[in-house]
Amino acid sequence: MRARRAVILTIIAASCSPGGAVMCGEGTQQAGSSCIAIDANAPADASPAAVGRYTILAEPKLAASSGVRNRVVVTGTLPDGSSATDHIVLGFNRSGAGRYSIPTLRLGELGATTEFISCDLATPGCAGPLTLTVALASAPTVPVAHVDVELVDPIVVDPARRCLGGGNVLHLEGNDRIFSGNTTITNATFEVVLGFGEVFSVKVTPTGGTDAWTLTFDTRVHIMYLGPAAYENAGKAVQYSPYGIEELDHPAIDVSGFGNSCSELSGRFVVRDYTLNGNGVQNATFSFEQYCEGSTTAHLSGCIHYQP
Amino acid sequence: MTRFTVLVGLVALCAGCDSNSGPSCGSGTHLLGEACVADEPATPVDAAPDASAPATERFEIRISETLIDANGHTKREVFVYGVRADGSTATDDVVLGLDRASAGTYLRTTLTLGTLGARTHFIPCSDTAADCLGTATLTLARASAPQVILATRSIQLVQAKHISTAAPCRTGGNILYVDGEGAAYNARVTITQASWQTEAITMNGQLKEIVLRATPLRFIDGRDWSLRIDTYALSTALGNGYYLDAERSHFATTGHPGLDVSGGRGCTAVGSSFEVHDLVVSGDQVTSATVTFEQHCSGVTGVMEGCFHYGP
Repeated sequence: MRARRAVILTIIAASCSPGGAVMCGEGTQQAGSSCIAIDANAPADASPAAVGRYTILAEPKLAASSGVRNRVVVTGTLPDGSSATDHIVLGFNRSGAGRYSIPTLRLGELGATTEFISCDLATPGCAGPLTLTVALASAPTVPVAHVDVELVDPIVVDPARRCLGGGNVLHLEGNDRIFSGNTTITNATFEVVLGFGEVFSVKVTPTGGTDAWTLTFDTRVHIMYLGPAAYENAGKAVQYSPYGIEELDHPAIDVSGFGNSCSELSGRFVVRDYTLNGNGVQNATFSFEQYCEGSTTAHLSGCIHYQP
Repeated sequence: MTRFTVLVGLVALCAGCDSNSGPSCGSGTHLLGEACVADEPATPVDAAPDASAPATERFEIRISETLIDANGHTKREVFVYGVRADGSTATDDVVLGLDRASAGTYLRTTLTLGTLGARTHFIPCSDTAADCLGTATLTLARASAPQVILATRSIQLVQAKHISTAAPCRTGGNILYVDGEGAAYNARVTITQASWQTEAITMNGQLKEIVLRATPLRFIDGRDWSLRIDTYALSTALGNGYYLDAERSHFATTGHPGLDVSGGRGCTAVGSSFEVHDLVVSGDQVTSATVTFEQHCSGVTGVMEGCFHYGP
């Protein structure tokens, strides 16, 4: 009986659909993230690509901005369950869509990590579907895995960009009792209440008013630095609290103002930039979402940018 | 004819896993490497997983190295991810486990998978503890069904010999990895985006000191990191190998190597150690080097350890 044999088929740019997705050619099928075929006439000398299972991971929506580095992780697994250690090359199916910070890598026990740096949204044809591919360096035109992503308006991925129009900005969008509506505040006094490596609290008093918004982002009991990262599963920050009142192992957030605050709170925030020097906070750009009293629908989101 | 085994979803296969004695593959399956695989009827294939079979979801658990010095404190990164049958990434809440508690601990045992998986760290047991050394198995399960093992990874815990670990610095290019506890440096950082500089200093034809510097591009990574090692107080040249009982570089007393790892804050190193791997020097510059270190500071609790790789 002739042995039926699975091989990874060549996928080249010409076989990609205009929309950007990889289309598996005649006699092939898509399985997971690879195009594969049953080729009864395939030669017996299996190429390396035919013996491993490879995976490429990326966020489904990537910011169409050359200033953003989008993490891409590649792993390979051999049939015996051990980690593949191949040299690999990363690619994508649309010229001009961007570049990788490191396009050739060697897989290790944890796979390998690089970054995709997109074209800019303003460049015609930049936004839209894109397929990231990985191939073995020994057969660079034969993708062994791919992932479909979309290059989108950076604000979708990074809401803090809405606050980067210049100067100090507080942007709020909400449908809860803290705030309902959509507003961008620039004509205000921005006063840093706490500005340390692990906690940032700022009070925003619109010009001519007496009430204020207060935003607190705190990682004191979670991690030592408010570094650029997403802080998930945040609990309620207790302003001016002694160390340790916030929930252990969770970052903390509280956006309140004009007499309204949450008793219980959950949320997340993203530090886009936070810079201190000997004079205090020099630059802070945060975005956030918070939910009061266990709500999963009523929420307050927004961003803040501060520079003294 | 070659028999071929197909990797199948482990959910069903490991439903009978014994949580006390580690993953045992279910009926009709067997352990192959680090995965339960089905005892499929012979499929005449000589290579890859059967492409014509319906895709199933799959999960993986990885660790930065599988042969681990059991020193009781050096963390190893653990990476888990899942891919659904349709090729999309799994977003389950998962729990990490071990087939024997004596092998070590995780920094976090519950994780939520994202599109890039999820990561935590494993801290090995100490080789001085009973039942520490030997094989152990890391396991991954859904939080909703913690007894159903989705993926496993075997590790081997061996007598501690190396200084810290070079694994975080072996991913390509220049890397500084620092992990600290206590007052010495209470954080963990991996620096890849930085400007890098080196120095190599020779005396009487002997290499006596190298300096590796990283000035991070990101504030969060700290500033002005440097690693300085020397053998001025030893009769030997600086080269590949182990250096124990190190004291502060440039201040080491006779018979002690010198070490100073600094992120802008000085330290009077005592009882520290470092290991030099793959050192290549050209003139007054380091061409490539990997240095692992454990630095203890006089009068300061905690240890700062890690690795610095410079070169391709």
